[in-house]
Amino acid sequence: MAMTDQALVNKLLSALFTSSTTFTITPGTGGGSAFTITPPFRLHLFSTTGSSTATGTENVAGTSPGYTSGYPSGGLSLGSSAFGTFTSGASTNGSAVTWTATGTWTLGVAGVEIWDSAGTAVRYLWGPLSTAIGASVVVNSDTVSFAIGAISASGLNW
Amino acid sequence: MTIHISCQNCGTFDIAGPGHPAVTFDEAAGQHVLTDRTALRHNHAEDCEPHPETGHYPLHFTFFAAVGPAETGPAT
Repeated sequence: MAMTDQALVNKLLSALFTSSTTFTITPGTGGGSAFTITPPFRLHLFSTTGSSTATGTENVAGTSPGYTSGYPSGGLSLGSSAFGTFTSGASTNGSAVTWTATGTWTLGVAGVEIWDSAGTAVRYLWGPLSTAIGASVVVNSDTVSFAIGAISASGLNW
Repeated sequence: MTIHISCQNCGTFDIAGPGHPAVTFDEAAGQHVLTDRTALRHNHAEDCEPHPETGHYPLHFTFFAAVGPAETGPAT
C-alpha cells in the first residue's frame, strides 16, 4: 500500500536520479546521518535477483566474459542523468548501455541493480528482467543491451 | 515481458517472451527465461555468416527491466 504523496515521490526521485553532481542531504537534529548521493548511477547485472533489503548475486567476468563487476567502477554508467523527470511516480533511463560478450556467459542474467559511484557505493534500485536470459544463451560476440527507456523505475509503492 | 533479439548480420528480429518456444518458466524464480537460442527465429540470409570462431550467429539482445527503491546499504 502506497503511503507517500505522489508529488513528493516525484520530487524526491527526480532529485535523486536526474542530478549529475554529488549532493548531500543533511537531516535535522535527531534525524540521523547526512546522506550523500554520488552520480553517475551504474547499472549492474545479476544472475540472482536481489530484494528490497539484500543485494543479489552479481554477474562476474569469469562466468560472463565482457562484463565487469564490482563497486564502484563495475557495471556501466547510466549517464549524467540516469532517469528523466519522474511523473506519476515513474520514469525511464535516458541512456542506452551495451556489453559485448567475449565468451559464453555460463551464468544467465535474471535481474539488475542500480548503484551510485561513491567509493563505498550505495544500492538504490533493484528489479528483475521482464524476461530473464538463461545460462550459455549469450555467446562470444553477442551484445547485451538496455535501450533508452528499457528500464522503468517506479516509486509508486513507497 | 520480453527480450528483443536481432541478428547483428542480417537483422532478423524476434521477440522472446511467454509462449515463445525459446522461453521456459522458472518456477523457483517466478520468472520467464530465454533458455534456447536455437529456438529463436533467424531466417538466415545468404550473406549472414556465423562468427568464424564460435560458429554462432552474433545476436543483439535488448533487455527490459522494472526497478524500484532498495533499502540503501554499503557495497558488498
